[in-house]
Amino acid sequence: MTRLIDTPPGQPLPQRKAFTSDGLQMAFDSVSLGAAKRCPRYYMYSIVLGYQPKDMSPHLHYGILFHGATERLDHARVKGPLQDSDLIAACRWAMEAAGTRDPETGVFRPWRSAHEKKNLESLIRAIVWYYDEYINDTYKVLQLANGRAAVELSFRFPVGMQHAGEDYLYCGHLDSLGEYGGSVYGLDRKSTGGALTQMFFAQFSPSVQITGYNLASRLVYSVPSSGMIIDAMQVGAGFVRFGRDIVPHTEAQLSEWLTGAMYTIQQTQRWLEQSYWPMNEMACTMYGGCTYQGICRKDPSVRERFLEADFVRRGWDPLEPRGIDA
Amino acid sequence: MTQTLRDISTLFFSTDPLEITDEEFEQVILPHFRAQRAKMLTTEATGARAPATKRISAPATLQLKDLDLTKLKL
Repeated sequence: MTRLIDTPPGQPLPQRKAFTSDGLQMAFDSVSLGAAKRCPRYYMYSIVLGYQPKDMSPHLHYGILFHGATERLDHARVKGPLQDSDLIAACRWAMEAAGTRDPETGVFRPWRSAHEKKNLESLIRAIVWYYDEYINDTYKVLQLANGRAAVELSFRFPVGMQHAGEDYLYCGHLDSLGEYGGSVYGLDRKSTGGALTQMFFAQFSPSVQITGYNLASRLVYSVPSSGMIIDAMQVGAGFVRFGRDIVPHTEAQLSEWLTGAMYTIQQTQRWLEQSYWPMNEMACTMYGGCTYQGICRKDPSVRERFLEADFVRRGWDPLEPRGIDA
Repeated sequence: MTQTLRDISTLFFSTDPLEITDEEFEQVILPHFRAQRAKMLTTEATGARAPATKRISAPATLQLKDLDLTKLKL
């Protein structure tokens, strides 16, 4: 379901598809490209070395589960009008995926999150309310030539640079492609604890992820999209609110994104060649505070010890498949 | 014979989702959340602030053995 590959302590990361045997990343997605743009040291810890927090944040867990449930509703919607049986299937899947099942005994333990807003109850509430909100959605997911819904669409394209004869790639997954108001759009779902204000939607342009999706939807699919729809959800302690906004990009903006991506990718190669990933100290307190700030705050001689103690090694691989068919 | 439906606390805290019946989804879980939504939409339509929602609390029969203590730090 995810692209994280667990590694036992003290062991090197297993070879990942997106990396050469020398450790050079050749295939990037918004996570790894975003990490590199944020801070070279952050990129080194999170992507190159694969140090991840021991426990998945409830926000990430919640987001993955909600995506999975709505993906199932999208697939059902293409086959015919949605019915409560589709909603029940999505809810049952989410409840099971959220919890843990003992592989030996089969005993199931429901997800018990202490987070006020991101927990099992709010997850199922969001799925039910989303279903009711968009039961007659005017956004229609496209049906691919093979009859399947244009949902969790994997893409990859060369960015226009090579290393040792191999193309650097940009890859990812679009939540869906669909028709809205007579035009085709890509759609990406977002959840937040804050209000769905203009400031919230403004963060998606420019955006490593959304601008990249916009470019991908035009390069990879034969039906050119007019932009990206941000399908947003505000998750409260006892409620959910929904909102949408369209993020268009001009050809020049998309070209600019690609140039910037190529520049950053070149930087990642330079960092590896020099075996040095500098800190961007200006990013330490952004994004709610960097995961590795506690590490970077320590003397370099002891950082590895704390990394091994406080994190787990999980290799992020943009080329690992994702989605229902993965 | 009509099967007794379990309450929402039991369904959320103590039940394997694969064992929750379609009837329990239709008559317990979905109505619970749809009632909340109806209340919120009705209240917000008047311009008033959305009412607080009572959290689903653990059933009184929940025992220590039902809790996942693998990550408990003492």
